[in-house]
Parts: sequence; C-alpha cells; structure tokens
Amino acid sequence: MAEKKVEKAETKEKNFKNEKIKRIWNKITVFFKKYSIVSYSVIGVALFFLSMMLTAQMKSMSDTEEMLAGKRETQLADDLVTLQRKYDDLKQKYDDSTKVVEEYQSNSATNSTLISSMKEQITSLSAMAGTTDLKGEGIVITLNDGSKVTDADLRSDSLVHDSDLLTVVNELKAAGAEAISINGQRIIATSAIRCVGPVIQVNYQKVAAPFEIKAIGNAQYLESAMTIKNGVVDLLKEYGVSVTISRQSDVQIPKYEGTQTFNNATTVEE
Amino acid sequence: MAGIIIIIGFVVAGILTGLNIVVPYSYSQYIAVAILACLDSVFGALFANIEKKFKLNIFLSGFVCNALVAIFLVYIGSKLNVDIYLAVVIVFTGRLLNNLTGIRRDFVQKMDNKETRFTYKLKKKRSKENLEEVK
Repeated sequence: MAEKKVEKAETKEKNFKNEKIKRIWNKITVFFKKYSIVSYSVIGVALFFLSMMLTAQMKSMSDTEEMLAGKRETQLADDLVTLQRKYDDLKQKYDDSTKVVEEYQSNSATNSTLISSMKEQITSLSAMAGTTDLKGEGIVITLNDGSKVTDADLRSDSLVHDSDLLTVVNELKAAGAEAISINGQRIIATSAIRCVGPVIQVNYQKVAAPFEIKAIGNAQYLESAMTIKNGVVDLLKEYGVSVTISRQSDVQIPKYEGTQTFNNATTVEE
Repeated sequence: MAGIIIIIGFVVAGILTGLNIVVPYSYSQYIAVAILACLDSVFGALFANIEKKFKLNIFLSGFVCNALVAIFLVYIGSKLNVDIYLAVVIVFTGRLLNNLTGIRRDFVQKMDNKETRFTYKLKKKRSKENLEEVK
C-alpha cells in the first residue's frame, strides 16, 4: 500500500511538472504565433546571409579595385610580366649584395691586417716622397768656396757650382743614400738644383755657401763612395773647393716643405 | 514591429560579420551572382507579399536554390569557357527589375488611391460648402 502511495505521489509530481512545462510551452507558442517570430527569424537568417555576402563582396572589391581599376586582362598580364622581370632583377641584385656583405664579414679579420699593411705602405711611401722627417745613420758633407786661391780664373772654379752639388747628390744616390738634403732642403724626385745668378736654388729656395749636404744611408758605403780615388771629393779638392766629410750616427733630415701637385699627370689604372 | 526588429537585427549582424570576411578575388564572381540571386528572391518575396501570395517555404527554397544554381551555372561556364555568368546576371537583374516595377506600381497605385480619397473628401467638403453658400 505504502509503495503504491509513493508511486502515486511521484506520478502526481511528474504530471505537475509536465503541466508546468506545457503551460510555459503554450505561452511561448502563443507568443511566437502572435508575432509570427519563427517565420520572421527564418527570413532574417536569409537576409543575414545576403547582407553578409554583400558587405564582404563590397569590401573586398573596394580593396582590389584600387589596384585593378580600369585595367583589361591583357594589360594586367603585361603588368604582371614586367613586375616579375623587375622582381627577378631586384632579387639578383639582392643576392649579389648579400654575397658582398658576406665576403666583407668573412674578411673582417683579414681586413685589419690589410689596413695595417696599407698604413705601413703609406709611411714608407711618404718617407720616399719626402713628406716626413727622417733620421738615421749617415754622413754630412760640407762644401765651401775655396779661399786659398787668389787667381781670378781659378777662383771661379774654386766656387761651389750647381754642377758640383749635382754630382755630389748623384754620387750619394748611387751609393745608396736613402734621403738627402742640402742646407735643410730635402732632395725629392722632382727637386731641381740650378744656378740662378750668384746663388744656387734648391727646390726653388735660395741656398748659399757653406753647403751642408746630409745623407742617410750606410755611412761607410757613402763615405767610401765620396772619398774614392779620382772620385767627387778628389775632383772638388782639385778645383779648390773645401770639402769635409763626417760620419754621424744620427743624421736628421727634414721633410720637403713645398707642395707637390700633379696638374697634367694622371695615374694609369692597370 | 517585433518581426521588423528581428529582421533588422539579423541584417546588422550580417553586415558586421561581412566586414570581417575577405572574399578571394577568384571567388568574387560566384559571390556576386549569388548576391544577385538572393536579392532577386528578396524582392520577389516583397512583391508576393504585396500581392498577398507570400509563402515562407517558397521564399526560402527560392533563396537557397537560386543562389546555388547560379553559382553552379557560373562554375560550369568557367569550366566550359563560356561566360554563363553574363546570362545569369542578365536574367536575375531582369527579374529583379520586374519585381521592382511591380512593387513600384503597387505603391504608386496605393498612393494614388489615397490621394483620390483625399481629393474626393476635399471635393465633398467644398461641394457642401458651396451648397450651404447657395442656400
């Protein structure tokens, strides 16, 4: 009996619940039918798709229109070909430049050695060109006009001429002098020694007796080259010019004071 | 009113989602044809509603089938190297314009009727006034 009662109660509860749901359902259906919401929402879904497609299409078309506006297919094909060519060219250039960059990067270590070697080259070349002060082992020759002889003819010979200086300098060069100066005027490749009236010009600068010729090089070789029998010194002494030679371990030779410019000569690239 | 609000809501949602979709250029033709088909069925539905012949089933089936068939035709045309999409566009635009003319005529007729009623009333009033004056 008790079990039956429980069952009855349960069924009652179920019925009650069902009735509640039914009532709510009825209300909803009535509401839907009154405003015909289902049909409207179905129409709305259709319109949703329509408006979505419309806006998407319009938007994507306006994006592409800027590029493709008013262009025919053939024109576009031409454009495509030219752009592809340009792209290929640019890519080629890019590859080349990346290669160069890679080379530089891989050679950065060797680059520093290159720079240092170049610096060395510059210093040696400037020493040769005479644009730096130099010092080193060498000899100093002093030439002075002879005063012993009084004869007028001989006196002219006993003076120090430009040719005398030239022969001395030539001999020094032949003996391996690395740098030469006359009274502080550095002898460089384009230096001229000539007689201008009563004075001698070296590098277009007047120099006068006594002439002090400094030369850097192997002092022994230089001295022997000067004092060899029937050499320059002998010749000059014969003429009556006073010559003194002294070896020095520290000869200082100044740099060339003028400017060297090439107006007509240009370097030839090999 | 509720129906109009629902429809407007759906349309706005469609616009908002459409703004975030990008159609690839190669598919734009199909989408354009589908849009034309859908527009045609919508205007057809409006016209039918005016004539009180509107049925939801017909509208929905037309909406979906027209679009799909149009896309299918364009696809076949592209495969056969025939510009079928031109035919589709012409047919759908023709139908669309027909629907529009129907709607417009109906609208104008209604306005006309209203006006005639209005003028009729006016005339009545005037005639009454005239009669009173005569009396």
